[in-house]
Amino acid sequence: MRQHTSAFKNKIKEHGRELDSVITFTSNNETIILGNEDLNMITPQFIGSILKSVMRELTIDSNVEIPKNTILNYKLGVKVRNDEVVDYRDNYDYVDFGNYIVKEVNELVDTHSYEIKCYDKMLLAMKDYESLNVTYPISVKNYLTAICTKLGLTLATQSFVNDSVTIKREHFLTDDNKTLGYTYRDVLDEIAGATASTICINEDDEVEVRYITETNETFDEEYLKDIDVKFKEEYGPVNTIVLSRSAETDNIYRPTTLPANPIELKIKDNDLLNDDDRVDYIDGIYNKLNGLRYYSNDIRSTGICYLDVCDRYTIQIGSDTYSCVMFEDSIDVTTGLVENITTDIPESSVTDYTKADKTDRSINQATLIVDKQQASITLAVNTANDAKTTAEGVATTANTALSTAESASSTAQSAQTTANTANATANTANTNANTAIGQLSLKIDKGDTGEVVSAFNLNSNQVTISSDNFSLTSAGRITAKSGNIAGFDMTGTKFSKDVSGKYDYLSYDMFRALDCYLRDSSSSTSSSQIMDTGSKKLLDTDNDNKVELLDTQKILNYVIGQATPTKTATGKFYINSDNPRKCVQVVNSDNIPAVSLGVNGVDATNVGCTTLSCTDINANSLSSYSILTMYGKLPELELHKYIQNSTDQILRIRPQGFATNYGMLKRYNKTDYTGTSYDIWDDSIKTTLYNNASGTTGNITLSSAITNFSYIKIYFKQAGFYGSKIVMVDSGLVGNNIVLHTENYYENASCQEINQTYKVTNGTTLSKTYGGWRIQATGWNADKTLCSVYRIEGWKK
Amino acid sequence: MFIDKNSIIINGVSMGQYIVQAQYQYNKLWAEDSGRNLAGVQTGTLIGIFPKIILQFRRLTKSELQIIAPILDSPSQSVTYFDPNKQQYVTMETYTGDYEIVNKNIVNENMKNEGFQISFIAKRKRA
Repeated sequence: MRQHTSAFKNKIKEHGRELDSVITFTSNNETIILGNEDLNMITPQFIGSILKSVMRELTIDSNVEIPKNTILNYKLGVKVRNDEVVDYRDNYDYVDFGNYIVKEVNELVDTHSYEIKCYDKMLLAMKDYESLNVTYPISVKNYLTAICTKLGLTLATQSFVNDSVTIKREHFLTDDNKTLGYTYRDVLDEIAGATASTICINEDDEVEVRYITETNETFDEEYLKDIDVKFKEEYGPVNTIVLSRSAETDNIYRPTTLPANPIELKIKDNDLLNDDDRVDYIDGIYNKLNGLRYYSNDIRSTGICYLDVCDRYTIQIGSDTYSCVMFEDSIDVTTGLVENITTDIPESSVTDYTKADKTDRSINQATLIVDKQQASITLAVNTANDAKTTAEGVATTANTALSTAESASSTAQSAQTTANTANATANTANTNANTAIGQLSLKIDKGDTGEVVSAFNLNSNQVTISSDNFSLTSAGRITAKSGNIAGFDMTGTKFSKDVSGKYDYLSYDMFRALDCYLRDSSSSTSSSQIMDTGSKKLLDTDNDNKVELLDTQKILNYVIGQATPTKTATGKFYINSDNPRKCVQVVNSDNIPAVSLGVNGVDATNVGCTTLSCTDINANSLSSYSILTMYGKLPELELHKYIQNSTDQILRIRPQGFATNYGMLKRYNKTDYTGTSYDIWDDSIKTTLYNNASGTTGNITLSSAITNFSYIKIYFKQAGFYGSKIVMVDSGLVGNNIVLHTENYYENASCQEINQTYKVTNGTTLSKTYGGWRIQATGWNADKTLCSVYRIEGWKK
Repeated sequence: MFIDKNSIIINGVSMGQYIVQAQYQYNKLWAEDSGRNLAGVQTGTLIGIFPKIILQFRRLTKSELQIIAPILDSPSQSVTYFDPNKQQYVTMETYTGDYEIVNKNIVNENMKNEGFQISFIAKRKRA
């Protein structure tokens, strides 16, 4: 009850009472007092209930503006004396309705007044819940104290129901302390439920854990208006307490022996009572609320004004008495006063006790937990204390869990996952008590950017799924007819994936690009001779349909890490069990196979490697072998055939300019390593030293000194018969002779032998010194006019 | 209660010399919550006693009327009267009702206005 005098109590109901309202506040360090002349209407009110928190409200129609956030006090007085006083208020006794915080101020232009809405200090709890920086586990009392401290309030009640029960964990934040949309007020509601109380602010602005208190006050008809007085049904007497979670599918109750006619009060989906420690709370709640009863009512009173929330009082009408509890009250104070008192009864519920139990450690072993905090639904299968217990089948319908998920802090529209039938079968319970052997949970959360994230978790020792197109065995074997995993598509006998990304150039690409450029730069060659269009596209870094030196340079920069490739390559990757020839294949963007791998080996458009070895795949001996090896690093093509004690032949082909050899095709004898070299010369180093289509039989003048060349080739003819001779140029050739000697020269059907000798008189002159012919090794006939030389070519070193 | 010639002073002017009758009304103003309760008993909040003094003026000369007319015409007046309940002189702020002056001849110091009546009503309840 609010503090009041007996004079007030007597006068308030009298005919001709005189009222006075006083609002006091401080503004600019000055105390302002507003009285009846400033106030047009005041309405203090509250709407509360059992197991909830209450916030009182004060609405004022004032001729004086009161700034927002002002803390004001309201008192209602009744004239109780008629003394001659200086201050007329000395003749009044007042009831203090407490302190309020001005929340809204609206100017009413038509009446030149202000409508001011105020709330008591429970308003401070109307903000997002944040970490309390406490250590868990923590007692309920200390937890509540921490909340009060956070709000700048003091906890008035030092002892209350379940005050020493420990809260094991943080219930109202995510694991990383992010908000779930709860306010401190919401949390106070949960604490009120867990402590079987009503939490409110008392007259000293302290947080009070309040219980229904008998006032022994009886109000008869004189306190009631002659209209709008209704008494409805009586609630209670409560003889059963049910703690419910999981959309009311998982319930525990007290007393342990159910009454014949349970009249239950159900506390459902309280976040503090959502874990497996409900037994810690339920006895205290039961002990407090057992026997609770009161009448619901709707009363218009002439005014009592001193009853407060949770006050029990009696209404007597004639011979009928109604025991009521004050939960809702509204007093309209204008020139007169009317008080409206309403008491509703809690929502009725009926529990199927066959599916409820006394504790969380039930034999059913399957619990469905709706966690509004985490926006999750968890089906947990636990072992029980008793071994060898069989639960054949526990089917629970979680349809109503949808509405629970929808009322969760995040948008749960996507949580339209219906677990119509959850069958938890625990064939054998082992002796390890309370060991969770399986868990199924549906969770909705918010990600870091506020997006809604949904998660469906199945955690079990054995998971089996069986359907026509998909199965999972307990051993973990998956059988599926098709699928798509990270973009990899599986259909029937094919496994494929589109590939796309920046082309990651290697050194092979650089050299291919250079080759393309060199071949395209020559009039006699073309890059199309060595490479297909698709491969060239990838080397065309700037997409100008040409592979140029610039492309080569760019690729070099990619290879050495001085630039980042920007060209995108696409294609497709296949594994196809229907195609033994190409069971693994990659095709390019034109759907042309780039590489295929099958039962007959590998086919590829381009292959890049440092060393390539070709030999008999079954070779297993070093006494006899054949091998072809390409050494890209040198580079060198080596052909090697070895037969023990018989043959060791090595043929190596190296490019021009390699070490001391020039385009050498080297035949190599393994036994002495001194084999004979054969030079291979190409026309790029050839010079025409003499050219005369008619030919000459006389002296020849070369266009360049013979000593500039490694060898020369002399072309000659004799009466329609042509021949040539290669002469190696060494340091001793100048001053010596070159002999053009032909054999088996047929003229007149006779075998003739011709010998023309030139002396290299100086570097550029070949002087004919002798010429002769003979038939079949007979004597020579001198004739210098034979074998006209028509061209001489020289190859430089 | 008119206990002497200065029992009614309005805006500092003693009206006793001008009036022939003073009627005192002590009107109760009830709040809208007034009515019968469930027991059939009349209940309600008394907003207060709002005194009302009705003065009957005698025939006034021209100069006399000119003295009191401004008082009668002002939007509010300060009226001091002897209250029998309070047993003392009480001052209240009032407003007036309408009044009218009848002339049956030319008014001067000799020829007077006809007498008239006016009400002085308390703006606030009596303390």
